[in-house]
Amino acid sequence: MFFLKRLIILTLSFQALASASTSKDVALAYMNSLDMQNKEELRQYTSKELYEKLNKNNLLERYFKSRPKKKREYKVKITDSKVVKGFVLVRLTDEKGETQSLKLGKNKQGEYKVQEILHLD
Amino acid sequence: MKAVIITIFISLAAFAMNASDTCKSLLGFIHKELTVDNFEKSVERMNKKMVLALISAANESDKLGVALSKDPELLSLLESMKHIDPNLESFLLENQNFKNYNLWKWLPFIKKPSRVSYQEVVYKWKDLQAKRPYLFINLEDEHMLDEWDTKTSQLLDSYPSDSSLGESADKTARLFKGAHQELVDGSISDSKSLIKSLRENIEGLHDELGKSFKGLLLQSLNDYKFICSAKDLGPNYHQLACEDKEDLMPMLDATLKDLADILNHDYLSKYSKAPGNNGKIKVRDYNYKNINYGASFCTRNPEIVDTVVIHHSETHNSASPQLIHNIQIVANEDSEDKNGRATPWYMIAYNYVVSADYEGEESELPKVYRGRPKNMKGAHAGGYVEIDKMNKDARKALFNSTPTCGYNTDKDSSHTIDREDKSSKKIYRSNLNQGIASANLTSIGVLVIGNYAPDIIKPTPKTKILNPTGYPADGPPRYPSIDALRSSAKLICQLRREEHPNLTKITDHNYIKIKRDYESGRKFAGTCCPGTVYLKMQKLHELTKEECPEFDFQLDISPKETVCSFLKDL
Repeated sequence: MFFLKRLIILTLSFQALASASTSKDVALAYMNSLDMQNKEELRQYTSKELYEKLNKNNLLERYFKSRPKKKREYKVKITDSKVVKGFVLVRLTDEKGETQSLKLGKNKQGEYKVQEILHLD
Repeated sequence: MKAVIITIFISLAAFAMNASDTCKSLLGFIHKELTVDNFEKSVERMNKKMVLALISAANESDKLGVALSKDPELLSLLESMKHIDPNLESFLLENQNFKNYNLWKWLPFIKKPSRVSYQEVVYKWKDLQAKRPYLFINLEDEHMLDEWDTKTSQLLDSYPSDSSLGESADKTARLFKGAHQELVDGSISDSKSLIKSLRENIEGLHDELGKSFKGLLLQSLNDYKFICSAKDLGPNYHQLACEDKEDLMPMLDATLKDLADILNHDYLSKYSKAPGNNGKIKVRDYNYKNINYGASFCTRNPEIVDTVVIHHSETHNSASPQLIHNIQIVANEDSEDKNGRATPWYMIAYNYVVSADYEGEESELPKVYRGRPKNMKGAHAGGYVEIDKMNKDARKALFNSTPTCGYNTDKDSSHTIDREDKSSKKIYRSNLNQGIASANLTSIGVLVIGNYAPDIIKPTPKTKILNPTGYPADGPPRYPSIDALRSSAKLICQLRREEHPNLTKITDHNYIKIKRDYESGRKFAGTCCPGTVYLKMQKLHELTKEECPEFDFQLDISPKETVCSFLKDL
């Protein structure tokens, strides 16, 4: 019985820890895996739909081909929308001033995933 | 009220086809079964056209000195038509052009058809109109037989003569129309009996459909696709069918409105050609959710507008106006101007949204949705215009009216300003003193939904951006379909006629943004928008000349050296 209780507590703690990943963490992890050209890691931080789009027509291979593997530092600005329920917009600006805008949302397990790459004019 | 609407929706969906799939049953019902009524109007239209063709042919033959009685081709057509329309004979006897009909109707060479195929008669008329155009020289184009008539005749050939189906459809349609009006007025008093009678009518209609030609109708009216996807249904229906059913009121309202249009008895006589052909473009109202009532907006005199600005959304072309709205609302929720003043957006930036297929992938006609109301300043252009370069009447309107900015504090759907924001007036006046005005004030934004940029964009030689819904950068470029361009051209013409009398210029997003800086030799920061639509601006201009030759629009597009590199290479 004691073992079972510990197991439940451990499981709950683990789940709480997993869902504690913030939108900022996920967005940075996504950018890091993109910069380091790590497709497997990229899969973890993107929604299934976006990952499929990124692999269509060899898009990632072509993108990686002429872009050096390089770790970048980003300034992050997060808008956790009060008007549109469940919409988190993360804007990441690198050292050269290049900005990426990502739409994040929670999946059924409560984890943030990058759902779309947005181009804002 | 909301509960009533949801109940109606569920009842309609559940009883429409007795199917578990709400999406399919409701859409199927709206798009297919109730078009029976439309079909009967089509038959009426087709018959009228054939009688007109007959009168024209008789008149012109007479002028040429050839009596109708000596034209076997026309006579046998006349005989066939008598079988279609039992009243034709008495009409002929009363009509001056056919005064001798009683004498020559027994001529031996007149073929008496044993079984008349409507399709055959329509084909014969169409053939005659192509082969002997001089017989129809005074007939308006709109009265010539067309493809819609062919389709009608095909369906009519299998139409059972003994059917009260039309009557039932008519009754149900009238109930729907009544329900729609009550929704608009907010005066639904007895929702229970309304639902009950709708339910009974729909059940009755389906009984009859089951008995007669449901299968045939479904097969023949296959114009309306039966798939619940944004691409096939268009954003409005996709929203209705596939999104959360939390806020159904605006969607159901829009659907009933569309339904009323389908069933409008005057529709076919008003529009001479079949739905979807040439004619006035329908601008669909769109009920945007998630309006940012915390943001201010400005209203303007529509006569200030002299320019239409073309944009692309850089999203998949199945994106709904609601999605574009959501992105723009969130992207600007925390934005500030250079003085640290909050500048959130009230709603979608554009005034019109065109939803269309890509070139080579056309399966549906484009749809045009309203974005911001016509008197609301847009948020799409991002630059300034020099007042002395404006259209002179638009400039006059600019000087004679001051925009009003403020907040819609009571959140009403007609977007009226309840609390004025006076600081905006100061900015406006300061701009006027400098001889400039915000480009958003003097233009309207037309958004073509779709991604017309490559999947890897290089805004600068050292920068690369992922754009997953773009076309493959190493493949052929993607362009808007000719239908998308034609719809945009029609829209521009219509706006000039009905909403913005001083609309005289067409430009692309990049150019309105940079024009002032570019022309004065200053450094400019442009945009890749509207992607490859930029390369079709000339075509768009030509199409406006075709659609409204009475107006002379000036095409004012980005010089090639100012556009994104992927456009320079094409």
